[in-house]
Amino acid sequence: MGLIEVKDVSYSYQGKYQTIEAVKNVTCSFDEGAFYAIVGHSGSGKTTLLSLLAGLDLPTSGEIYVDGSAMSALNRDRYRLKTASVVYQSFNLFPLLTALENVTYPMQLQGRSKAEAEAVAKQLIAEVGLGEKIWRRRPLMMSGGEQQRVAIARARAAGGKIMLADEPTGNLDAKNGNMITNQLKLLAHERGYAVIVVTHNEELAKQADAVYMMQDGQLTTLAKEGQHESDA
Amino acid sequence: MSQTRNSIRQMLRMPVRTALFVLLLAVAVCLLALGVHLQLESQEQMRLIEESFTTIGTVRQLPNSMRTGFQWSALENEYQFTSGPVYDAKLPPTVLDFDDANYIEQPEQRPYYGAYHPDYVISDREYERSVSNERGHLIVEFTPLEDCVPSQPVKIKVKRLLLGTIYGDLTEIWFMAEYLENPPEMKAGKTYVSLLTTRGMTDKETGERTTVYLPGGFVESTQVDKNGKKIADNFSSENLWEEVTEGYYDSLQGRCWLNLIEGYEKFENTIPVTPTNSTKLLMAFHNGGATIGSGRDISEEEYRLGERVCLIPRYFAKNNSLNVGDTLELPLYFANYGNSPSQNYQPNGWGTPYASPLNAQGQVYPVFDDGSYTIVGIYDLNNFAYEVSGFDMGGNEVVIPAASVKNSDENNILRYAPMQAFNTSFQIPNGSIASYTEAWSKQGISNVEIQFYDRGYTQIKSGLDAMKNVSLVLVLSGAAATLLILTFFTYLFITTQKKRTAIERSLGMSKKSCLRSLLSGVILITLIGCLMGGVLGYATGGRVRELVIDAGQDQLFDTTFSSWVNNADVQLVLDTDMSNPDPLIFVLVALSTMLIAVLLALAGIRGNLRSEPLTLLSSRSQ
Repeated sequence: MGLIEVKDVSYSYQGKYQTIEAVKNVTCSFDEGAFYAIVGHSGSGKTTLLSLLAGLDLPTSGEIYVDGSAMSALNRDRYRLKTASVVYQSFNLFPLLTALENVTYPMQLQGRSKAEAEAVAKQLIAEVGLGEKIWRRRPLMMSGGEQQRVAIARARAAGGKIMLADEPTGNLDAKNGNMITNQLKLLAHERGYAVIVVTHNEELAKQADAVYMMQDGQLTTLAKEGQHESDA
Repeated sequence: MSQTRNSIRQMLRMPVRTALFVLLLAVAVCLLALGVHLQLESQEQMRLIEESFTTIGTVRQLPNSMRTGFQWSALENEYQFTSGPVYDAKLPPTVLDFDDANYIEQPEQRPYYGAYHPDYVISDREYERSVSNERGHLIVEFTPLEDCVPSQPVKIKVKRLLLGTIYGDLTEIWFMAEYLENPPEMKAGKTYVSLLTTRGMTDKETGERTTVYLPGGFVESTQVDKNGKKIADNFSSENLWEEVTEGYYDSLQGRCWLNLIEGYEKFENTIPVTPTNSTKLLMAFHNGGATIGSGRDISEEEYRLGERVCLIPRYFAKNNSLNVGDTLELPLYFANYGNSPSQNYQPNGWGTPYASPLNAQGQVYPVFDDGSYTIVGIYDLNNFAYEVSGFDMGGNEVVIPAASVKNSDENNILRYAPMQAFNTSFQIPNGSIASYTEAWSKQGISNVEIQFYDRGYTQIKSGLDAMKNVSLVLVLSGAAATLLILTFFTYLFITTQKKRTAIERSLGMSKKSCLRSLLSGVILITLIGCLMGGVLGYATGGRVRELVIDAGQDQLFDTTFSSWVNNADVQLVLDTDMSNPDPLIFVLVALSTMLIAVLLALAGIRGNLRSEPLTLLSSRSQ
């Protein structure tokens, strides 16, 4: 049984003229220590699925189980605070806070002391390959790669084991993109995270342990090299 | 707590924007608070002024023509010009009853009544003696020292003083028939009776000053009916002196002389009583000639119900040891519609009506209404000038409710005249002079003159209206500025922070925590702005008041004299009340602004929380 079990999940919402079914009867599983990629065209429902996995919304039908617990029964704010973190294409750091403050933010929300949070934050920033100079910089004074690494450090600061990423390399050049991809792989393979990445980037998808294809709200598993394709 | 700290930290990372907002908000709140302060103050002043000021109109019937003539003056040895008004008809006050006449007090034509009670001290006799050798009317029996025609001063010997007091030697006096060009001859040894007045005369050659006694009245009746028509009698005489023979006082003429003596004696000890429907209608109270110094005014209800209560002057109260709450007996025996008490009675109580004390039967007027009146107030005279306009209070003048006089005075009217400014007046609402005048002009009555007295209310009102408008502009501009700034602030610090809220949500902050996070910053910054504005407004409020209001201060509170009790204190209270702005106003305005800011922020935050975080944060545009 995986860390995240998605069982026959559908999600629809009322559009301007009609009901839109963004996710249709999706069933899949995500394990700890694995790196997943979800690919698909724009509007295929990838981001909606990620939103459901992040607990920002609930499925219209079906259920998502996290470590055996139904998402609908969880305190989803607490779930995001302690278990699942999201990394975005546009980094989404607090623009008026420094790198250190951004990374300490989730820990302060958890009630940890400032000193403790800062110590952990410095360690996490170092682990994503950034030096002390970055601590007092605000996002506008950082490159895209630096911002995304700070974002990963912030995502790790919560201490959960689920890392969700929405096009994490989309705004980065190839060098920085590779660096972020490696960071995510590292998180999955060495730190035991379940890393789920929504991406258009084929190179990134190739690095994943498993690749899902999202098309018209339906999810299929793409066969990795040496594997057979099967329905999810 | 950490959310609040982070929220404030983020605001402080935009120092220019935040400082600008705080300053703008402070200025707007200051304007708003000042506007509200001035508005409330102008309303309060308006209320005080409405309470303190009254507008009355006095009414005078204009004569249709003037009667002219000449009268002989023996002293001047020439005819002197005389004139007097002629009225075709006497108009009643009801001519002022017309549509659109919005009276607070209906027009009333007041008589004054004479009340005689032997127990009351009318004037200070010692004082009288110090200022004059004579007091009141003099009726004497005399005999010429020799046969004479008194067209020039002649010596007469006083045989008996029938009325009046002479403090000097009255054995032999100078006598002259002032108004008769050809007076009848008087015989030495015969006794005559006459009513005398005095006149000082200076000898042109020696410069020596002599008092000459002039015959100054007839045995007559001046009684008129309610319409002012003289009631005929059968005893009036035009003789300025009558010969007194044996049994003369048993004759009709003789009895009339005795009654005349009794009548004048009562006249000189009479208390003038003014019946009215409102103290405010009496010009002396309206214009400050009199103020109630002890007790209170007669209430509207007492006036309406005709309660037997009265106001008395301080001088009379002192002479008779009367205090508020004591009773005063007022046997009313004549009515005078032709004069006001101040035209007949000097402030020291000394005086007499310009009329005969005899009715058409040759008798002294009988009492037509009698009652005990409770003294509710004692008034002070602020203006002791004895003047003939009739507006001042007369000596010993007592004020009573008109409705308290239960019996008609129609058989006791000793003098009548058309409506005069001193005895005919009405009250209209403050500020309605123009509309009243316009409505009155449509009545087409040209021989009635109406004069308004509002103690400058119209001028003050226009000044206050201007102040009210200024404060209204301040309130509106302050409110608009405050709303604009708060709306802009909400947009700047909340609506544009949608992404921040979305990040916070994705980091696991609950909607409540997100709301607290944003709201705490808004509250803090707004609080600083509102406090600064409130303090600034309070600090400048006094100065602004001085600039805007105090320019008219002398006029605004020139209520030193009115019919109100302890008026000087009232004025003092007004000054004190207005010396400092009420801090509560500024606190309330600041709190209200805070409340609006919170409501606007809540609406903005609610909008932020409605947006789907992941959709917002997944946006490819930064």
